[in-house]
Amino acid sequence: MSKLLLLFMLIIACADLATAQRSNSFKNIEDFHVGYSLGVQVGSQGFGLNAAYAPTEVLAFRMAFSFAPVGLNSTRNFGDHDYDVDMKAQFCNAAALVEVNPFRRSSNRSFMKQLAIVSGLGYFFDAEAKAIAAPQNDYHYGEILIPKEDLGSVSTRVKWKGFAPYLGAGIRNIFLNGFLELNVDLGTYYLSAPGVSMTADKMLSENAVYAPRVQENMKGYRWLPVIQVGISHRF
Amino acid sequence: MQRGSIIMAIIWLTFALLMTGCTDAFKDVQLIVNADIFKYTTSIHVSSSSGTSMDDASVTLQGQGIDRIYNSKGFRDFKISDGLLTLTVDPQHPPLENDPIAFNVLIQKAGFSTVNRHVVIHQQDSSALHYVSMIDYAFPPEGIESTTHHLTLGKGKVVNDTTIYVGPGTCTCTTARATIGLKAGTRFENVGGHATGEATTIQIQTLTVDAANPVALKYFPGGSLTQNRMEMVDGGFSAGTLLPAGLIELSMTADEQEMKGFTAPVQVSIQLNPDFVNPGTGQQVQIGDQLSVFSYQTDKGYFQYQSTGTVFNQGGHLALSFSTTHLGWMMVGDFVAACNAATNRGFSVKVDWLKSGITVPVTLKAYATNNQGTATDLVIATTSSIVRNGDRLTLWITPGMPMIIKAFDANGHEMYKAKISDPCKGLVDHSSMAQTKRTRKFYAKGVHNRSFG
Repeated sequence: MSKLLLLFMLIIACADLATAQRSNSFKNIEDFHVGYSLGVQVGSQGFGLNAAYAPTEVLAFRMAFSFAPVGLNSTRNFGDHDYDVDMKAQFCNAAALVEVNPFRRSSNRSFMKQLAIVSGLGYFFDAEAKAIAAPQNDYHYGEILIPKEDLGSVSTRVKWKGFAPYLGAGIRNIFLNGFLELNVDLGTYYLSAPGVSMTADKMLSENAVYAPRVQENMKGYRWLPVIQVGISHRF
Repeated sequence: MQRGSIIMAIIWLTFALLMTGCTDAFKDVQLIVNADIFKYTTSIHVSSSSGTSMDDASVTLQGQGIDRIYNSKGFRDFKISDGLLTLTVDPQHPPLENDPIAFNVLIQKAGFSTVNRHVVIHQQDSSALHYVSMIDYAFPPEGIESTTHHLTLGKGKVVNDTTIYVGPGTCTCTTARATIGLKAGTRFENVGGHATGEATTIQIQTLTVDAANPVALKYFPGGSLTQNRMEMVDGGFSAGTLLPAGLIELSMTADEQEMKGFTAPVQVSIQLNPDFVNPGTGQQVQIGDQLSVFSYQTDKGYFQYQSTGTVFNQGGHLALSFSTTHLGWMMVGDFVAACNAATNRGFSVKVDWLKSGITVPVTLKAYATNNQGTATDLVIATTSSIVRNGDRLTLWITPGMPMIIKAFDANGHEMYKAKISDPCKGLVDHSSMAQTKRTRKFYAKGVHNRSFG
């Protein structure tokens, strides 16, 4: 989390510097804050599209759709045995957001004018992480040698589902040129408590009974951080 | 610096940090993998009547199933450690539904009675517990008397017809708990079947057991009154429950060699428990009753029918006399066949307060009944295991007689009780909940074997 905060502060600093150097040849800033926009974003939520409508310069409504596949291979040690763990996660969500720019008129600083408080509701069509653990090597127990192919594997699936509230902050209207602007967002979803299922086969088959315990361990794993940048085209 | 460059720098920096941040995206995902693949563990708790450590006792495994048995570290070196002998099954060759693993565990230590425990590991027996108690000849337990006699031999033979009176204490009177009659000229055979050569004395060790004392019967050969195989009069094997009216062990050594038998039959008489209820008559045993004699030789590991004798009056006590050509345990009493081999009793354990994956030791005991089936008598069968919620404890050999079942936790608290009037027929009534002092509930649902579906 500290890394994300550092990143966000760095982005804010750069954005502030960028907007301070904006040319006065552009139209008044207020003219760019009303109307429709379409954009793309990339970040911790993966890739996505968004559409927004700002009826006034202090209020905007945004619909966003994101898709994030994540994969990772690692090694973990269980009971003095190294296991290859293949982890994959997939998040696909749509969100309806409301953005308020509270300092649009009151602040002289360009950065504060562009600061938006964003809240809303997301719906996760797919929010799942799956990890498959398999022994790296054969098991040696005294005189007993068990080939790793005979040991089996343990699959753990964690699923979140349904609606999740969102709260965050964003920097809007970092103008790139006439109608393109850069947006930056930092926030979090609060997901429902995850459900865990486990399957295991062969000699590791009894591990399936630990699903309730894993679920108990992960019941606090509900905060899904969002950090992303996007480019929008205003109409 | 141009604004466009700064903005591009923001974009790339964000992307780069996101990518590096994602390399550890799952670090907080807690996985549980129990890498222990030894699903079948049999623990044998070995103790002695005197409390002496049995860690230096020798352990030998015998039988067809031993090629699948290892110690807890995967070696075939079996030792008792802190009173516990732990055996594990090769995970690559587990017991199957119709192929349990059967073997015998022979535990020996000088000065202690040898124990031969028959172990069967069924597919459902993931964590079995056995309790073995060995009699210290110097300090026998309550209800068991140990005596030693020395007999002078002439060139390895009994010189004159001799009767050895065994107990009580040093009494040599006709009211002895047991008598051993040796004919002149009798020789003694060692383990290899060879008769004693020129031995000048023979040491005769006896253990006389109070057959009515439940503490003494903990040391019953084979570990339980219910045995999974006994050799019957026709030479076939049967499972069932032995009901002892009298019980002794005879062992002899000459020239530091263990003897196994005699060259001529030896007459033995055993004093009987006067309160023994003869299953044949339903009444207390009395003069003229016919009772069976069973013997148990430790190296074989099972009881075998010897003969049938008639109860008589021996100095004011009920006794039964029989002849034998071998040493070992001798039991006078009766035998009740077990229910059909397919009729084992399974008790599904439900312990609601046990979290998933957590285990608890449970012991199930089957008692014979008295007082018209309302009170418990001797323990006739026991099974122990370490179970999880939903596991099943099974009495693989169901005594074919009315019994009361009780379940106990590791601290000996009774957690369950049920009366079974006819265990060989029909389903057991569902048990009632048993509330323990800790307000935690344990209940066992007794179900008939799978043959009833």
